[in-house]
Amino acid sequence: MTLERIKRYQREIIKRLIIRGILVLDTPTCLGSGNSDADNPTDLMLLRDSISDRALLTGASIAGALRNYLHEYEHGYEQEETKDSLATVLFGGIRSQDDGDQSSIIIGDALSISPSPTIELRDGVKIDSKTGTAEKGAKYDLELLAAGTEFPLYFEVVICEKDDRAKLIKALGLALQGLEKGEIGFGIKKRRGFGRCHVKAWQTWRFDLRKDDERLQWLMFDHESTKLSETETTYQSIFEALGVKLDDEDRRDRFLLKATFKLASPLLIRSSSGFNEISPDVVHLRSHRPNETNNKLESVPILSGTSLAGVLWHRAERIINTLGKSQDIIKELFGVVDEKTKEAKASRLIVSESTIKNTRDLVQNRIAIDRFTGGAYHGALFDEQILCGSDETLLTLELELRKPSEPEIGLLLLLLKDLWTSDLPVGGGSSIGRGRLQGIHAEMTWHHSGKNQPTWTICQDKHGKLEVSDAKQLGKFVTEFVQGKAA
Amino acid sequence: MSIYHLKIKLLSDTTFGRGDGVAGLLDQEVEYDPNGFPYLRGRTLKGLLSEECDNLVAVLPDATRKHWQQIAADLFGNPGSTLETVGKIHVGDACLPGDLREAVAQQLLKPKNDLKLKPINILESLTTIRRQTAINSKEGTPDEHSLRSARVIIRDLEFTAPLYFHTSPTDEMLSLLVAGTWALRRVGSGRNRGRGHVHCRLFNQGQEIGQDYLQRFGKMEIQAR
Repeated sequence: MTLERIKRYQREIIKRLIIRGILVLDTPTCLGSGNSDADNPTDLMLLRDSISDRALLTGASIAGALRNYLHEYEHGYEQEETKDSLATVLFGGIRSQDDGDQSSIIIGDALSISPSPTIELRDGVKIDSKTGTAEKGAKYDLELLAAGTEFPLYFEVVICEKDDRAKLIKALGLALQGLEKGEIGFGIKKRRGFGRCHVKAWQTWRFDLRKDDERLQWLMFDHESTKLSETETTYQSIFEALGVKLDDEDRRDRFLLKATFKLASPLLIRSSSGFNEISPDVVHLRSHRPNETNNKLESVPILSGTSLAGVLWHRAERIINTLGKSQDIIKELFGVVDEKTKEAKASRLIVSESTIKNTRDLVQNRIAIDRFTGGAYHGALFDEQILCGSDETLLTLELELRKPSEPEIGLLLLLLKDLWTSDLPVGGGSSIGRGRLQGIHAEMTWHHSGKNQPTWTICQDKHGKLEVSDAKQLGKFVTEFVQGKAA
Repeated sequence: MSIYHLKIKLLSDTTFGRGDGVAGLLDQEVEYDPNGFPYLRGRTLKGLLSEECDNLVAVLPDATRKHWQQIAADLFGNPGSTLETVGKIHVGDACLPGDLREAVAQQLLKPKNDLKLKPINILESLTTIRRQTAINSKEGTPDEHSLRSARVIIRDLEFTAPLYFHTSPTDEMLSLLVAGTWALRRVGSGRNRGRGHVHCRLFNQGQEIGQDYLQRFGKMEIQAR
């Protein structure tokens, strides 16, 4: 008898590697069920376990996100996947490949650790750029898993005799480091701040199936359990857990902007939640975040990524129109979905969701005035719970531009300038002076595969004096945009 | 003839695929009987068991591998078997509990059943539908024509398959079979991506055949019963 007893292609699996981890959501996440029934209470319902209320993160979703990250890490953004890439070694042949290998990694479905995870509702609306008002029929609402929700992860890597083991482990380490560093997102609207997460702990088990005792250990391994083992060593770093050291070969080209602001005026981003008999008619948007000291969920005021992206988008349009430039740069930066031409492209600008620290709430009563009589409009008394700031109030915005060009960075700097100087209000009620920010500190880094990773800073002290680390270079980006080819 | 039983508990939602779909509703339908009960074909189950056993045998040291390959051949047979080389094991379909299926079948047979049950109601009560799409790595948008929907059997259900032997299996055969059973952890479609995570164990007359047989696998000193 030979290996060809059954005359089929058979993998000679000599080793197995099991990895467990705990994934923690950092921002609200919508893992949609894809079910768009009219009976659903929201436009997009969460995917739940088939027999309980636990949230479900499918192995297919995890695999897709990891594969995409690994591919981008190795080849850069917006590149077609090829047959001989690291992603193919770990995740198997690409879809268009008829004779691709099956995946070397087995990924388990992850059910939320909490039997009934905290859910929050978020609504959004598209703003018409011409009128500045809500577009008709463009309002939507989402069901989201709150930040702090934890999922147990399970990976099993199958190592065969013919595999390039070093390449396989390298691919595995790079893919999982994306989860660990919080660079991989799940669910919808990842480019608008949803679905951010990180892995807080790893455990690994290795089995050499050629050795009797290790083979027996693998056969008797408790694969049903989803918890981390109390007896096994827990690692914070996947590279330590795998026992490998890798050179940095990150080919992603991205411009990161992190800017801290304080509130120069009250802020109001309307939310759908919190309505009851005694609450104000309108309440500022809040979201759940784990408390840093006791890890309990608390509701904190936020500036949503969707709101900020909308504001930046419309201001960018105005700048483009003022300078008489082509609108193509807007499509390139903020993405496009054209139902008629079926053209679709995701946004290259990633906008995060920010929490606003040290604020206080204030309920304001307002009344509409009848324009004809000049008196109070009947039945139009309403109250709004707005967010007021102080010198202590802090708000950090994070933007990432993938595959940036110099003119695009120039446009981004103009947008930052408008936010910084309180010229660009965010949220609602801008016509009555709300939503103005004032810049304190900004840091920008251009990450790419080259040796130099330039960094710029902008600081404003209490006396209003501005310090810019390399004003000449930043000015050059803006000039590139104003006078460049995009004109 | 002796009969053993293989119990398969679903730890995650599972698709025992049928190879086709339902136009306009599903791309991947599960295998189910005329009363709507999903099941795993014995032919498929035998293939899965045989593959796991072969995987374990393939990496044994040279000295013992040929011996265990012969046992695998005796147990599962060879392709194109003649009467002399036919496998000793005959694998039945893995089904949900017989009394449940019988009770529902009786209900369905009634000309006017009070619950107005139909086989599709049975199937829908034991399954759900999962959808997935691929994202185009270049555009960051869903790939055109990549939306798929598959029926999945809900987790925590337990399927049982009878394993028939015309003559009693040897200890070595049982040892190989137990190892293959314990190694069988992923079945059906999407088994590398979360679906089809299962827990399998072998039973003889209600008693689990466990670790003592498992520990004998891969060694040479076992004496035939």
